[in-house]
Amino acid sequence: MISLRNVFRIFDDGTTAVRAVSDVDLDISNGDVFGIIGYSGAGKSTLIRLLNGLERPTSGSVRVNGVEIGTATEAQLRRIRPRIGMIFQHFNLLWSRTVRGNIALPMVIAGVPKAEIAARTEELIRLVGLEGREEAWPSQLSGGQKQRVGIARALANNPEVLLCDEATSALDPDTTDQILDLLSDINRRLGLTIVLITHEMHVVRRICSHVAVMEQGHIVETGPVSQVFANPEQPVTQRFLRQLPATGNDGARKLSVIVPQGREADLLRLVHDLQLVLTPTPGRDADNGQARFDLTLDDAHPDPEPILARLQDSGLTLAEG
Amino acid sequence: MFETIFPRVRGDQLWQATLDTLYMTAFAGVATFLLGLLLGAALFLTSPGQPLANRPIYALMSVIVNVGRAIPYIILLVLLIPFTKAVVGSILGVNAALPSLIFGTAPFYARLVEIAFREVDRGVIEATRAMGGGLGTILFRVMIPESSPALVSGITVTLIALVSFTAMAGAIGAGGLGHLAYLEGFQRNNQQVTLVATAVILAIVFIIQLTGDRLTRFLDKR
Repeated sequence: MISLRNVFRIFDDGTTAVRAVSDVDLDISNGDVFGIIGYSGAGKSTLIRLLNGLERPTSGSVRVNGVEIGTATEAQLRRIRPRIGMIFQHFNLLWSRTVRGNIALPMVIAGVPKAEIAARTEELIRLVGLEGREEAWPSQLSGGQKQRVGIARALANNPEVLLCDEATSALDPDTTDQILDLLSDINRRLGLTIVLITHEMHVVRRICSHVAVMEQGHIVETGPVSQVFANPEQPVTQRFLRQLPATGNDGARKLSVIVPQGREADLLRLVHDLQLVLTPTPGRDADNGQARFDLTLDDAHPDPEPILARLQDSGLTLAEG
Repeated sequence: MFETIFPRVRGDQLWQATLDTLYMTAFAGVATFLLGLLLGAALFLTSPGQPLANRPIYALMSVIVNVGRAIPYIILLVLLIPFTKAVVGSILGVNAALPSLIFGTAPFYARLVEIAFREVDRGVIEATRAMGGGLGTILFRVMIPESSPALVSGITVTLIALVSFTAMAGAIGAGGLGHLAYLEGFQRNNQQVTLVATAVILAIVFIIQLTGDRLTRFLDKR
C-alpha cells in the first residue's frame, strides 16, 4: 500500500522555485498496476522518485507499506529500497557486467550468499526469457533484451513494489507490447504492485488497472482505467485519449461492450488476455452507471468465436457494430 | 655484437640504469595510481551535484591539484629537497626521487580520474542507489569498473610522463637512464651512451603505451 498525503516537491535554485510535485494525494493498493500519465515536465519523474526516496518531499507524507519514506535516513532507505524495484527508460545497466552480473548486483549489495545469488539469477533469467544470453554484455543486447535484464535486476530481491520510469519509451511498438505483457504477467504471477509513469495512453490501456493524470505537478484526474476512459473530465485527459488509434480499420470487426459498474477490471483482464484493441467511447451510457466500450477485433485474428464466447460468458453485454 | 656497434657503452652500467628507471617508474606509478584514485574520487564526490558535494573542500582540493600540476617538475624536484631529506634521509639515489615523482604525477592523475568518473552514466548511479547501494558500492562496484578503460588509459599517459620525470630526476642525482645519459653522455661527451639510453627509454615508453592500449581495449565492453 502506497499513500501520499499533501506532497510537495519544490526545486528552488535561489532565484526560481519550481513546484515539480504540488499538493499530491495518492493511494495505490497492493497488486494494482497504477499508471501515472503526463506530458514531460508534468512532474511524474519526480513523483515516482519520491516513492523510493531518490527524491525527498519538500513537505507532506510518502508512505510505502507503512514506512514513511519522506523522513527516513539514508541508512533506513538503503534497507527499504531492495523491497522496491525500479526500471528505467534507458535501462541503466552496467556495461561492465554481463547479463548475469547485472542481475546479481542488487543481491550482492543486499549481502545474499553466493550460492543463493547464482540460483536466483538463473531463475530470474528464465522468468524474463533471456536463456542463452547469460554471458552477453549489455552492448550486445537489443533494447527489449536490455529492459528484460532491467526487470530481472529489479525483481532480484523479491520486491513488493516495482517502479517503472518510462520503461518502454525507448522501445519500438512491438517490443513495447512484449515488455508490457511481461510486466502484466509478473504483476499477476507475483502479486507485485506496479507503479509506472508514461506519456503514452497505449501503455495505460494495455496494462494498467488505475490511472492518474498529471499536469503541472498536480494530479488532475485519477481512478480505475475503465472509469477514466469512459468519462474523462479534464481536457488533458481527453487529449491523451485521442492518442489512441481510432476505432477499427477496414475489415476489422467492431463490437461494443456494456460494462456494469464494478466490472471494469474483468473487461480489462479479458481485453488483455485476448489481445483485443479497446477504445472507450467517452460519455456514452455512463450516466446509468454503465460504461460502454468499443472493441475492435482484428480481422487478422484466426478464430474470433472463442473470444466472443468468453466475452459473453463473463456476463458482459455485446452488441455488434 | 652490441660492443662492436657501441664500443663506448658499458653493458653493466646500462642494465643498472635501466633497472633504476624501471624501479622508479613502477614504485612511483603504483603510488600515483592509488593516491590519484583516492584524490580523484574525493574530487569527484565533493564536486557540485555529487553525493558528498561540499564546495569549500572541493575548492581546496582543486587548488592543491592545480598548483601541483602547474609547478614545473624540475622546480618541484628542488622545492621538495628538504622534504625528501626528512622522509628518505638522503637526496641522492632512486628512493630520493620517489617523493617528487609522486607529488609531480599524482595531481595530474587525480584530474584524469575525476574526468573518468564524471563520464560514468548518472543513470547507472541512480539505479545503484535505487537498489539500496551506498557510497562504497557506488564507488567500488560501479564507478571504478564503469570507468576502468579511462582509468587505464589515464594511468598509461601518467606512466609515460613519469618515465620522462625519472630522467629529469636522474640528471640531478637519482640514477637511472636520465642520469646515465646526462653524466656519461653529456658531461663526459659520450654520444653513444646518450643514444642508447634514449633508445631504451623509448622502448620502455612504447611497451607502456602498447600494454595500456591493449588493456583499455580488453576492458571496454561498451
